[in-house]
Amino acid sequence: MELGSLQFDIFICFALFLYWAKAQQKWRRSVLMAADFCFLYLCGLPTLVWCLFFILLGYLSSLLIERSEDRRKTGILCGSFMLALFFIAGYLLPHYFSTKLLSAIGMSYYALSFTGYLFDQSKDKVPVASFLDFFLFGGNFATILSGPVQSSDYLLQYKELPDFDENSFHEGVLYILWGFFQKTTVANGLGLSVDHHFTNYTVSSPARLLLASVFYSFQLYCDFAGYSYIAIGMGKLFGISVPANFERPYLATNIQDFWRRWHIGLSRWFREHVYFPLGGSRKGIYRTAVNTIIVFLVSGLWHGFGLNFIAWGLMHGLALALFGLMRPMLNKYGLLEKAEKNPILKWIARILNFAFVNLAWIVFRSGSLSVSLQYIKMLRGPYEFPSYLLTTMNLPEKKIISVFACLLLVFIVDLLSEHDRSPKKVILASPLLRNITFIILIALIAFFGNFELSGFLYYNF
Amino acid sequence: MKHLLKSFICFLLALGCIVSVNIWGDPANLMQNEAFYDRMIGVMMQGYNIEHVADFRDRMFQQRAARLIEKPDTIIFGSSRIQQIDSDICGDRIWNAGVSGATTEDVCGLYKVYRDNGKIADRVIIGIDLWTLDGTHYDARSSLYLSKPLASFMTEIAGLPAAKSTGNGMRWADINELTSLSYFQSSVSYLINYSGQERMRDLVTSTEPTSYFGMLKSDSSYVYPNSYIYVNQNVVEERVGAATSTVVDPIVSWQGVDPTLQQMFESMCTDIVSNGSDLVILISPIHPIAYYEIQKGGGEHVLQEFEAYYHAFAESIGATVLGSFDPWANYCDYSDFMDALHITPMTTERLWKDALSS
Repeated sequence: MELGSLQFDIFICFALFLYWAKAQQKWRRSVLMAADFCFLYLCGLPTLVWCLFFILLGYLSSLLIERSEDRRKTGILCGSFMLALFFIAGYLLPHYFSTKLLSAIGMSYYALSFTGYLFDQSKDKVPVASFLDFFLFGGNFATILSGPVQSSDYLLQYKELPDFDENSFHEGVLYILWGFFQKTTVANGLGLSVDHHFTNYTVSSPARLLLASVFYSFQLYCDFAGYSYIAIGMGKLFGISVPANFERPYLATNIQDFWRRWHIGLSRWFREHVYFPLGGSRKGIYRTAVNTIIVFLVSGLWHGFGLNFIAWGLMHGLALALFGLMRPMLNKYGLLEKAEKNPILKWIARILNFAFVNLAWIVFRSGSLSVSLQYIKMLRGPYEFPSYLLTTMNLPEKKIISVFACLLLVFIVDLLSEHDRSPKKVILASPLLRNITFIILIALIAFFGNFELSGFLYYNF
Repeated sequence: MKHLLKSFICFLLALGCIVSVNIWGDPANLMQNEAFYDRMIGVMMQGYNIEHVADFRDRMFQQRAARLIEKPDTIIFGSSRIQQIDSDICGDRIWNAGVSGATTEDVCGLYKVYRDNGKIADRVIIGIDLWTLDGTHYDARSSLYLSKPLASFMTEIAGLPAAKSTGNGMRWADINELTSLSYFQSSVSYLINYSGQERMRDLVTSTEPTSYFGMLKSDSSYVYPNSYIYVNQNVVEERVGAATSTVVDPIVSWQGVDPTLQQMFESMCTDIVSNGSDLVILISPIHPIAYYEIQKGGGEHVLQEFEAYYHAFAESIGATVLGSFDPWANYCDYSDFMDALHITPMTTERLWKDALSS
């Protein structure tokens, strides 16, 4: 079942009416469980069976940890076993089988949320949950498609679901519309050009390839952030909190800052369950650097078994390690502080940081390391920027201007939010402005959305 | 709850606006019923071509045509790869019953419809595709529009159990389409760009041999829009590249001939010949780049085995095989193609006119 389809709309309407029809906790929890169950069934029977199997396995593991004498050891064993099972299902089983089982769900979010809970439970950070809580946490239809990875403390909210809150409901609608706007107008619009240039890079010019790589950076951001907003919004419609996954990552001034803002759920998971157990930053600056590189190598491998993913992880790991090593020196001369305070320096830092992240995305996006090296080799030039360059970038015909106008809007909103002037607060404060914004967003999606490309880019990871 | 109801009404209003525009514009003629197709066939029977042919339910159209047309001298079944073959090429009165993306189920289902209506001609041409014997290839349209005739073909001609019937008519996908935003955009663009006179459902007729927008000729053969035919080679190569996953990949990772499809195909051919019609099995070539990619992926032997099978089977029932998937065997180069699977109208004439008119 695809987000935004008629089937999905009908499903959400029914679920919402039933959910808020009665105030009793028991009723709401039952409706939510039934909705999750129906949603998984509509994704396909194999998906439902697979998810139920994992929820049950997770729940039994949780009981096992609770009764075990050495909880830490059991927790690590159970969590690792579940992760291994996901890996086997996702990567090692025949393609047809894994596609059948997992095509409808975002595999990594599901796996990481569960194992994160088991690890946390073994450290006594969270109490053991009932089967229903566990089901609501793991099978939540808002997050099962596209994440974000939820930390274990989000499970606790299912024990006491909040009452209907009008503001939260409106906020949810705004998030959903904003997510769809980002996804359909910008991400899908740029996607056609990106696919074309990354496939036919050998016959393209350096200028076009450079632009295509920048397009990919924005496509990935708007696609993933868009889906995350939809998940957050959907959660809010039901009064459920879903953690933020993006905090304007391309406005980061350095690589450390970038990783605090990009794919926050996954970064937090790796920090808590890989980086800290390795010793984190407690064992000196060199060991910290090595730990950082290890974490990003694992993160690269999590995204895929290709050499390009390892290279992507290594690039980020090395950059972060280098930044960590240089940080005392940068602080000594007050460079970081200056970069934060001086707007020109800040923008230079942002652009340099984006350039690096963009380069790494080329490695990430290319099908293999050799392709990414050839792509990067072609970026050496010579550069020509003819006036008709944008019109020949294979962007959706008749929508070139709208794609960039919508991207500009996303950028402006991000910039305003970065300076604590989030338009969200203003919009939600006035019913008139709120309704006008809803209508404008619906109209923008309806008239300028690109629906040729569908599906979530990050499903593959 | 009151607030929720208010939101729900707003949602319904927005959805209502989208559906209204979609019904009003309806660029793919989803709302058209059998009467429309009857009217269309009536116009064609008078010798007119239908201009501005947009996406329409060609399987439903052909089922209506089977009842209304006169028995032709030649009838053609297959996919869009043979839809360009017309009366001029065949040299007699033909009816092209090809439908876009035709599967073996489509061909057999339509054959049964025409057979039941006594419209199987003295000569039958069947177009062969890469997916004719591929059990993994699927097109929802055949089960939606041709499930009943196909079921009767399976039991009466092929001696196989019939697949579960899903019935004809308005389907979930159509309803979904009427609420979709992509269809909304097409509807708006359709309403803005075209005046009411130029819509397909107004049945704009033509007697010209070429078309700017796509045309169904009076013999139901298809004329591609000039904008699709006359493009430079880069565009064609891009089209070939975009079709790799549907054209090259299934052959390179070929899983084997589907026995049910093979039996369906053989039963149909045998039935045609045993009823006294001449049968021509026609294999249109694929683009040299696609063929080369298949060769590179080690799939050429699959195509060669297909062709060897068709030749052997045709010989066993007294049918003729024309053409080959191999473009070079048909003396075709890049300029002979519009995309990975379709040759140009000029090449269609060059390849088939002498062979079919004799």
